[in-house]
Amino acid sequence: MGNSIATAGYTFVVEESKEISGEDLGLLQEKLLQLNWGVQHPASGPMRLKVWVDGDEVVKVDPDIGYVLRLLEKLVEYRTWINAIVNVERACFIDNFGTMTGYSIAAEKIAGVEVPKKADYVRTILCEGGRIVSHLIGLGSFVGVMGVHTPMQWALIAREKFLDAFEVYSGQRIATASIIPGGVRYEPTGKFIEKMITAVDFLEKEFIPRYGEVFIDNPTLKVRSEGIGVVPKEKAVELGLAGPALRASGIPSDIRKDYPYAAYGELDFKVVTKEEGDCYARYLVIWEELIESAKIIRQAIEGLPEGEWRTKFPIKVPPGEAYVNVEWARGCFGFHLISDGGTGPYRLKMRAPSFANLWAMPEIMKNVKLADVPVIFASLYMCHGDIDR
Amino acid sequence: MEAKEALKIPIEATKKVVRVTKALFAPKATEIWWDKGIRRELHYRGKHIINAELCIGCSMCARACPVNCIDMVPTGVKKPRAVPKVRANECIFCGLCEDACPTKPEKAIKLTDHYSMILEDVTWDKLTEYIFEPENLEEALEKAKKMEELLEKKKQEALKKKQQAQQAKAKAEAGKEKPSAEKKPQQEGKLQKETKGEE
Repeated sequence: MGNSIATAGYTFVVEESKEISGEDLGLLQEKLLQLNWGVQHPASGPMRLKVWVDGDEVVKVDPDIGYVLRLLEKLVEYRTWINAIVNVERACFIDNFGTMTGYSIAAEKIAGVEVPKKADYVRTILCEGGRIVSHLIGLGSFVGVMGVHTPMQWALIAREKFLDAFEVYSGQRIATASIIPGGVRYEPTGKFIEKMITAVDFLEKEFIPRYGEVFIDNPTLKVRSEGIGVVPKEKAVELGLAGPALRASGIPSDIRKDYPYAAYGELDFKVVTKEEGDCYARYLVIWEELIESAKIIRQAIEGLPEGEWRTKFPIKVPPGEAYVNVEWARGCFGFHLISDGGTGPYRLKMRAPSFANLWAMPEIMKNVKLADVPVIFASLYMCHGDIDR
Repeated sequence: MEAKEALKIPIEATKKVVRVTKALFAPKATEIWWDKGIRRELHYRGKHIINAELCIGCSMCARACPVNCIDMVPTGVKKPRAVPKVRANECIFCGLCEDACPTKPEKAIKLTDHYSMILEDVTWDKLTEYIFEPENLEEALEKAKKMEELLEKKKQEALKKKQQAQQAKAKAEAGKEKPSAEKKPQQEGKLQKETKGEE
């Protein structure tokens, strides 16, 4: 037990023989050490990984979740059709527009309500704004895990401009509650469009060149992340990865392209894929999607039609059910919504991408070095609010 | 060359002195903001303002609230029957109550751009007592009472007129058909008058 482990912030508990007598551990059990990577680790978030190590090598990883469980799915059953969005958006506060859009589309499908075109475009702009905000934090935290905290600060500066735009639009910076069944809540004013354009300008002209010069193709970063946590194409499908992690393994899966919703069918963009499937590839996918999202926002603002932005949504919705997938910042987010003819949802099941990535993680983390655990964890791009719901 | 280098030092020194003096007399970078009346953006969702004169007491806002922080307080008059009261401690400032309010063109419950909600000595009791109430409730209630009185007066006047008309009719009919049987309708009229007095 060197001092180095203690100073690095790991708390460790010597495993009792009862707990580790699993079949797959075999004869190793006498040498194994269980480390609790998490809850208080700076990169873990509100979650614990039980890591069994043999020397420096990880033998087994067992995620322990549930620290931020809020029962969002159950709470939705006590809400009306419209005010259920405040629970849905709290699945993850970083990109709240994606979840609200998915829920709204599901509710509209059951009620048979058609949304005006302007609302679709505003939804697209907001969703892409949310994606950029989320990806910025993803980029920053990925490099931050390796000990460099400058990119996080740069990313937060760029994120601030987008939050300003959201504040002008809805009145709040993070919990905006702006997309409801039947359209969007507020009119996209000229000032909002102006703020959004300045934010995108800042991103494209200031952030992307400066960040790209230093932290993309960076030799030190490459040494640390290339060839680590490799997931081949077939295994990615088998494990059920989602979002940027899946696209980094060479599978062009994107709900925006495959099953277009909102105004994505009318806009021109490409799906970013990488073939390598390692941590660096996942990082690059997030980076290139950021650039792509900025282009989508520009297109949507140019094509913003005139007219109404909200239609009436009935108080009582006829019985029925709908399943809707949306491409959220962290992957494909599914909503299974059931109505029994009442004033609110009967049941809502959310299929979260971060949860899928989390349960693929023990497979990816087999036989890696202990120091690579945070890197792989950050590269899978998970959100804890989304895992626990 | 030497002369130039010799000049460099005093020039830089004076530059630094100027910069320091400038910084001394420049305005502060930070300031106290809460008495300045800084306005937020158009849709900012801050403190509630409840207009009791416009409120019709339909309790749509209480139903729309996702955290059930709006209570309807009965007023004792007919319109509005009850007015909303927002428990600020539990409110999440989503603004759905404003959307649900049916009064036109101005909403009775609105979220303003006032965002300074400072409580001193914050204790749980103080937080639970921190409530947004209608500002002009007493005036509105007085108005409503006056309106009710006026309405009642009008009603009574209308009733009186009706009865007088009936009496006149009855008299006329009685006089035309049977002059001998005048007493009956008169008695009925008296009875009606008595009952009206009781009302």
